[in-house]
Parts: sequence; structure tokens; C-alpha cells
Amino acid sequence: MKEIKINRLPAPTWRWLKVNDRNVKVPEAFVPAVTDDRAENLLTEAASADQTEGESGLGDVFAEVIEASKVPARTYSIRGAQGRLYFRNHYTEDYMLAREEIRAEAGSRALIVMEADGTGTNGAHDIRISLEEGAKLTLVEVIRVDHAGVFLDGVYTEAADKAEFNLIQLVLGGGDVCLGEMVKLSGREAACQVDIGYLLDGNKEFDVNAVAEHTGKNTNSRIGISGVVDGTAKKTFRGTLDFVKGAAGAKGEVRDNVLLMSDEVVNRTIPLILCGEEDVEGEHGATIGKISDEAMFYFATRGIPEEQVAEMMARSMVDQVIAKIPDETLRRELLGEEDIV
Amino acid sequence: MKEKTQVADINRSLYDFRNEEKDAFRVEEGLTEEIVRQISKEKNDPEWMLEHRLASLETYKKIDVPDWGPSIEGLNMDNIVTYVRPKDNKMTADWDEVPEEIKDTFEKLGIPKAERESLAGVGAQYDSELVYHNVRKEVEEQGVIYTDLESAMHGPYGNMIREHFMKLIPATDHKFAALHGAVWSGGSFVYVPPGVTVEIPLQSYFRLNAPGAGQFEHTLIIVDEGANLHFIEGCSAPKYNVANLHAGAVELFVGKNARLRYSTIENWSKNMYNLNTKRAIVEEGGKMEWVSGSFGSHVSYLYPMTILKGNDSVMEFTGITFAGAGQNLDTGMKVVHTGKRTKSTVNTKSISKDGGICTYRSVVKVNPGATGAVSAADCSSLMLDDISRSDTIPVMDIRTDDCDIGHEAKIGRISDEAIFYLMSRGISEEDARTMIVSGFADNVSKELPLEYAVEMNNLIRLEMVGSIG
Repeated sequence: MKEIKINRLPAPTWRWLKVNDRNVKVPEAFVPAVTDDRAENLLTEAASADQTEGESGLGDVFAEVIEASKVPARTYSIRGAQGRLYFRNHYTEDYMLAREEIRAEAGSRALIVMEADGTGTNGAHDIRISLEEGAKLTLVEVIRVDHAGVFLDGVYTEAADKAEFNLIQLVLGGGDVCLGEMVKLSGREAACQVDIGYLLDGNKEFDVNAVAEHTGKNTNSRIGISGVVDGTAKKTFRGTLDFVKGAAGAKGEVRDNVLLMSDEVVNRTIPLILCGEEDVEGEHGATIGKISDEAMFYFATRGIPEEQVAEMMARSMVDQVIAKIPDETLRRELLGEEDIV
Repeated sequence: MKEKTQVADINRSLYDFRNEEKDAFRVEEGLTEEIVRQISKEKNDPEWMLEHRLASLETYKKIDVPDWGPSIEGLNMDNIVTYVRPKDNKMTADWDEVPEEIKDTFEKLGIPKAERESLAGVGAQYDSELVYHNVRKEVEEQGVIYTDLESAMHGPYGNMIREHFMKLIPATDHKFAALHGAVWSGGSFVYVPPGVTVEIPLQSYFRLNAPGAGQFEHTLIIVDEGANLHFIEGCSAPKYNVANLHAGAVELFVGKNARLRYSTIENWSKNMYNLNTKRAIVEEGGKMEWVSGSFGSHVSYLYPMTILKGNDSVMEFTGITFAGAGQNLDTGMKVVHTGKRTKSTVNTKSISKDGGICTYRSVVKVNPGATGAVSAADCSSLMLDDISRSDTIPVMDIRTDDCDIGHEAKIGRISDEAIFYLMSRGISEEDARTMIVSGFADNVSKELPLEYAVEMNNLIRLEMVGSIG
């Protein structure tokens, strides 16, 4: 194993806070994860999306690790409307890696649903997406790995003129997870929406670095993360809006809503706005805390016991993200009632 | 296409006058053990202070320059003179005894006038030494101590000072705290006895006249149980082509159920490296209020920090930073909640124009056991043109569930609709922009005494004058 830095803050802050990046150990060599395509798969492999070479949602050092891994990426070109790709990556052994490269051609529409499960330690997932003009892609990722070590998941996206990218990630399994999302809105009127939901308990560690880089004019981004931190779990969220000079008319928003349910948790929220362009609108907000006394009182007066209130409120934090999944049947398929505690 | 604007630089002639260094005593440029010993001898330090200086020097040599903020490559300590004073300097409580040129300096800055009209006491520092220090008789009779720190070290408050000096800001904190520990000079000591309210403010004013020099004043304020004080700090310097350095330190001890308001209008010249450190610790039921206006300096690193140690202690931070051409101002605040039921409120504004860079940097830390903590922060940034920059880098580090933490930040430009509305009422575009920016800064100006709010609004007005097109 070797130690690398991932999830670097685009603009560092005081070192003593230890939030500028995350150290993780990666194996010297990965092996391919076991991928299970469902019958709905309508896409076939095509030429590699080479413009995303050398990039990873987790940062450039991890990109080098991926390139060196020699694990081939499954590559897809999406054409036309209503393309759907649905598969599971099984991490059945230690040090498994799954890679995808996706090019969404001009005007295409697609929904990609990915699940990750298994108990193999130190698994990783790397997906790189290139959206051509007017392409619209929704990616739903449900991570249920239950493992020792850290699961690394990087999503890197480039969006051309009028392209739209919606990313919904749900982190529901055991084990430590690091997510990195980098969306480059380089085309005029390109847009992205990133929604992340999670449930942390025990001593899980969850580390997220989401960046929306606006270089195109009139681009739009929204990054939201919502979840529960319980037990002795630890969550770090870095959410960055980067308005590069020239991105006139750009708008962006970052939100972090956290429900804390134990007095031993650690929550670190670092929402950045980096701005080199005058004509933008950027905002970020964070709301962090426990269930309010007023809410508890309200439910108590309706005869609902405290434990049940805690369950309901925890569920509601993640339900906000689940509700973004566009297909109700899919929501029920992915997340039965018993999956949300 | 939205119309872009350009705003020219300000006229600083009110602050830009300078005096020639006639008969000044100055140590050599650079930083060596010999220089530190020389300064210590000049000051007639007690032995413990000399040891502290030397230990700080060793710490300074070991710590790296920060790599996360604005570049300070233009600052070469080998070229900085760490101690300058008029040759026969003697601090006095009578303006008539202050050397004519120096007195004239402070007259131009309005200090004696302010003292006569609206202050309980004044300390005036010129380069490395205090030249004037006075406190009103009625305030003295309340038992309030307001004097220069150096003579206080040798008096009845010597032990109190030794117990507090650089305990809140140790030399190990960062490189420029260590530098301060080695070469500090000047600054004030304030002690407010239990239950005493000082009805009108005390003020210290710092003027750095010598080119290529550093100012390293130390302000130590102890507000005892149930007492109440407003302290105002002002500063300025003429502009030179060489770098000047300000690495002062402010240590504030707010006692049980006491209240301290610390207001600053910082207007250093644009060759100044302002690497100042301010820290407060608040006991049970105490309240710390920061009011901070940052308008000057070439590069600033400034993050007043508050430790809410006591249960039910409170901090309020109100600040504005205005970065113009050639300025890179990295400012913000830090607050650490350790007691129970503590509360912090932050309201900051930043404005950048003409290529200026503003960075708001902060941390709200809620430690384990700090149950009932409440924190609300609201940060807004305004960019006035397309060649400036504004970054917001807040961190919330929360380690208990029993808390309520909120943070909001926005960035944008002056709304075209607001300009159109004012112009349709006969107001010129320049005046309209000035009004909007002054209104944007209202959070700070309304917390200041009238004279200082006027000065701040004048600074804003000066910044906004220029060609619009």
C-alpha cells in the first residue's frame, strides 16, 4: 500500500484544521471489480472518451493511480433519447477497481444507475463523463459497500454548451467512503445538480470533495448534501463554487444540511466560493445541529415517542435526496422501506 | 452585455504625509540575537522578558512562512528595521511636551481633538515607542489603569502582566507571533477593575513613519468581573516604495459577566504587510464584541480569534474589508466554543475593486462538551469590477450534537436595477454606487462611535471616487 492525498481543497486554509485534503492508502495494484449488467442495458461499448484522460473526481494524484492500475475502463457512447444503463459493481475481493468512461453525444438523454456492494477492502470506482452540446445525463449511484479500509469513488464530468448533468449519490453501507465530484461547466449555459445523501453511524468516516468549476457563460450549478451523523462517525464535506473570470452570468449554490445525533460525532463543513468574475451570483449555506427541542415537543404532543422521532427525522434527511431520483419504480427498486433505518 | 465599470484609486493625502527621520535612533536592519538583546536593553526589560524574547527568536527561526494565504515574498526581514524611535524620546501626558513634528502628525490625524471631545484616554505610538499617554482623571479615579505596557511591567501590575503576557498568543502560534515575541515594543496595558464601567472609549493610535520599519506593539487588556469597556484602535502610515511590516499583538481577557468592545479602523499604507494577531478569551457570562474595518495594507493576514471558555459567554463579530488596487487582504475571524450555552454571531462584508483581492477566511469550532452552542454567520461579498477577486473560505468544525450552527454567504455585484432606480431619481451613477457601497458597509458603521463611522464612510467615499465607464 502507498499513501496519497485526495480531495484537495481548491484553496487551502489553516493547516491546523487538517481539512485541506485527505490521506488515504491505495494498493500498489488493483484488480477489476465484478460488474453485473442488468437486462435493461441498452448500450454497447464504443470508442474511449479520451478528453477526460488524466482527470479524476478525487484529484490528479488519484488519476495517476488509476492510469497506472492497468484496469481497463468500460466505455460507452450514448446516442439519442432515453438511453438507460443499469449495473452493479461487486467488490467481492480486496483492492478491486471499477472504471467507466462515458461520452454523451450531442442532444442525447440518458439515465445511468449504478450500485456498489461487497465486503472487499480498499475498493475504488472512477467514472469520467463527457457531455456534448445539449446532452442531458442523470447518474444515480448507490453505495452499499460494507468493508474495512476506505472505498474511493471519483466522478469527473465535463459539460459543453447547454449540457446538463444531474448526479445523485447515496451512501448507505458500512465502512469508510471518500467521494470526489468534479464538474467542469465549460460550455455556455451548461448546468449541473449534485445531490448527496448519507447515513453515518458507528465509527464510519465520510469524506467528500465536490467542485463546480464555472468557465462558461450563464452556467448554473447546485450542490446539496444532506444526511445524518451518529455514533462516533466523522464527516467532512468540502463544497466549492469556482467562478473563473469570463463566466459572466453564472450562478451557483452549495448547501449542507446535517443532523447530528450523538455527542461524539465530528462534522466538518467547508463551503468555498472562489470568484474571479464580477457578474455572477454565488451563495452557500450550512445548517448543522440536532433535532430542535421545538420539533421534539411537537411530536411528543402527538404521542410519537422520541426514538421514533429520531428515526423519522433521520430518514427525512436522506429522503430529500432519494426524492431526486427521477423514476419512482427505480426508487422503490433501489431502496425498499427496510433500507432506510 | 452588462456594462463594466472601472474605479480609480483613492486620494490618500490625508494619511500620506511623512516626517524626515531627524535624530532618530534605529537598530540595524535584519533580525539577529544581537538586535534582540539591543532592543531589550533599550527597554530596560526584566530578565524574564529578555529570556522570552530570545526563546521567541529561536521559535521564529524554526517555523515556516504560511503557504495557504497571500504571498509575502516582498517582505524580506533582512531589510526591516525592527526598532526606531526619536533620539530623546520620552512618553508624556501633555501634548505640549511631544516633539513638534510628532505632535503635528497626530494633530493632522485628529487625535488630540478626539481626545478632548470624546475619549476617556489616548495612547499615541510613533514608530516603535509611545510618545503620549493620558487618561482622564475621573476614569483614573474609578481605578482604571491605562498606561504603556513597558512601564506597567515594572510597577504594581508587573506580576499581572507577567501572568498574562503572550499566554493567549504564544510565540509558537505562528511565525509572526514568534517575531513579535522577539522584538515587540510599545503598546498599552489596560486594567478595568470589577464592576467598573468606562462610559466613553479609550483609544490607541499607531503611526508608522519610518520607511522600511516594523511596528510590533503589544496591547494587553484585562476587563475584570462585571466591568465594561470600549477600546478603539486606529492606525496609519505614509506610503513608501519599500515594505513596512506590522506584526502587533492584542490579547484581551474578558472576565466573568464583563463586556469588552474592541473597534479597529485599519488604514495602513499600501506598502504595509499587516500580519497582526488578535485574540480574546471570555469567561462565564462575558461578552466580546469585535468591530473591524480593514481598508489599508498591501497584504493583510488578520483573523481576530475568540475563545468562549466560560459558560454562557458570547461573541459578536462585525467586520468590513475593502481591497483596492495592489491589495491582497486575507481577513476573517476564528471562534472556539468550549463552554456550555455559548453564542457567536458573525456579520461580515467585503468589497473588492480595481484588481484588489479580498479573502474571507474563518473557523467556527465547537469542541466536545460545548453543549448548547449557537452560532450564526452571515458573510456577503461585493465585486465592483471584472478585474478583482473575492474568495470565501469558511470552516465549521463541530464535535457535539447539542448545537445549532448556521452559516450563509453570498457573492455578487451591484445590481443594475438598484443603480437604475437611483439614477432615475436624479442621482449620478458615481453617487449611486457610493450610496450602495456605503449602505453595504452599514453593518460596521452603525457599531462605531459617530466620529469613527464618519471616518470610515469618508474612506469608502474616497475609494469610490473615480471614472465610471
